[in-house]
Parts: sequence; structure tokens; C-alpha cells
Amino acid sequence: MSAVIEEVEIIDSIDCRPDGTVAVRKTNCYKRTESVEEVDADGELVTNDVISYTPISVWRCVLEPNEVERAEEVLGNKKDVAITHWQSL
Amino acid sequence: MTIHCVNITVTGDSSGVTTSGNVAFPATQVSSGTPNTLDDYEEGSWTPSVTRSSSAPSMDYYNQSGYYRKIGSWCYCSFAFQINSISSYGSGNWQIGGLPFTALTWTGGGGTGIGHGVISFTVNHPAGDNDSDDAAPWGVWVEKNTTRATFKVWNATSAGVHRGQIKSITDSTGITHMDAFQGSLQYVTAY
Repeated sequence: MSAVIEEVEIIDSIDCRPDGTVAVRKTNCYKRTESVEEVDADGELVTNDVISYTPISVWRCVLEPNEVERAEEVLGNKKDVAITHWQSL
Repeated sequence: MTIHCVNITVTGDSSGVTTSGNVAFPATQVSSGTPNTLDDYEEGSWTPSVTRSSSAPSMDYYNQSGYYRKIGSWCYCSFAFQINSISSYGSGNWQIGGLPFTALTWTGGGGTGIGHGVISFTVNHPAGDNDSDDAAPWGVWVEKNTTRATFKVWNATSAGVHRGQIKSITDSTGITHMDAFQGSLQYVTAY
């Protein structure tokens, strides 16, 4: 049994508000990946990864309408959530 | 001991609840309408920015820093930031944007929410204020149903507002590059 612990950033929520702002909540977590040996339904010994998260800190920010560059910086590949919202206004 | 449950009922004796460890709340608030129930706690950081009520300016910063604690529906925030450069000034009242939670909508107080704050430290601001009122912002008023707080100054002129009253900053360059602000605010959140 071995465990790998790494620090990861998770986007908890993207709240697209009627006034055009987009509120973002992120959490920094320790992600613990542990390999556990288990017996499957066929009686075979298999190794599964068990992943758990321990929160470290929370960060919140608000994107103003059409802050595309900042949306990319904050949301990464989820930036289209904000951009689509702004286009719908 | 960590308690992973928010539904703790304290009965009428005087012993209360004691713990040698923590009381943990879920990341998403489980709202309670019961007045004697604490239904949320969160602490974290936020990124204050400068915006305006009609259209947002475009600027970058030397630094932006903020911390908050939300206890029930009250949010307590600290902030510090300094503007580096401004490429467009926008329009409307100058505001701090990016508050970590939306302010409560209530039926009184005009456009203001239930919340305010103080600016305890400014750098450079009067030089960039064209109000001719020779006053740096002394505080902020949180706007209802928004994540914004409007800068407020004492009025030193008679233009539309009585001397001594407070007013918003509306001048196009009322806040400008190199301005730095540090302060705190508290307000009632919408949830």
C-alpha cells in the first residue's frame, strides 16, 4: 500500500449572476491517492486507487462582465462558462 | 474531535456545547431559517478590485489582497490593493468589486445594502481626485444584491450635496494609478 499526496486546486463553483458578474469559488486541497488491494467479484486480487481530499484554503473572486483574459486566468479550460454567460446578456 | 454535522441541538441546560477540537461546516451552506441556529462558517481569501457602477474600468495592480470570515450571514472582510496602471476609466460611481459573497437585498436604505466599512489607509489618492474636496475616501458602503462596495468621501463643496454630507466619487479620474487603499468592511450576505 502506497500513498501519494499532492496539492491541487479545485473549482468548487462558478455562479453566473443576472448582473453579468461571475462568482468563482476555489479550494486548495491535499489530494491523497492511496493504492489499496481488494478482492473483486471474481475473487481476483486487484489494486484500486482511493482518492481523498483535505481542504487547505478557500479563495473567492468575482469576474466583471467581459473580463475574458481574467476568466482564462481564473477558470482555465472552464472559461467558456463565463464567456457564454456574457454572450447571453 | 471534529464534528461533521451542523444539526446540533443544544437543550435548555447551561452546559452548552464544548469541544477540544473543531466544528466543521459543509462547503455549501445548509441554510436555516431558525434564528438561534448557526448555519454557516467559512474563512478564506478574496481578490479586491476596482470597478464602477455603470461600466468597469480596465486596470492592473501592484498587489491585491483580501481575507474574509463568514459567520452565519455576516461577512467580515479586510482588503489592501494598489493600482499600477489604468488603460480605461469606465463610468459611474467608483467601487470596490469582488466581495466574496453577494450582499443581502433589503427594502430600505435606497440602493445600499446592510454593510459598510472603513478605509484606514490611503496612498496618493487626493492627488488623483478631481472632486476638489480635498478628501480621500474614508469608507465604503456595500451595495445591495451585489458583490460591490461604493467608495465614499466627505463633501467639501456645495455642488448638489450639503457640506459635510458624504457622497460617492464619480469623477472620471476620481481614482487613478498609484492609488492604494487598505481597510475592512462587514455586511449581511444574501445567503
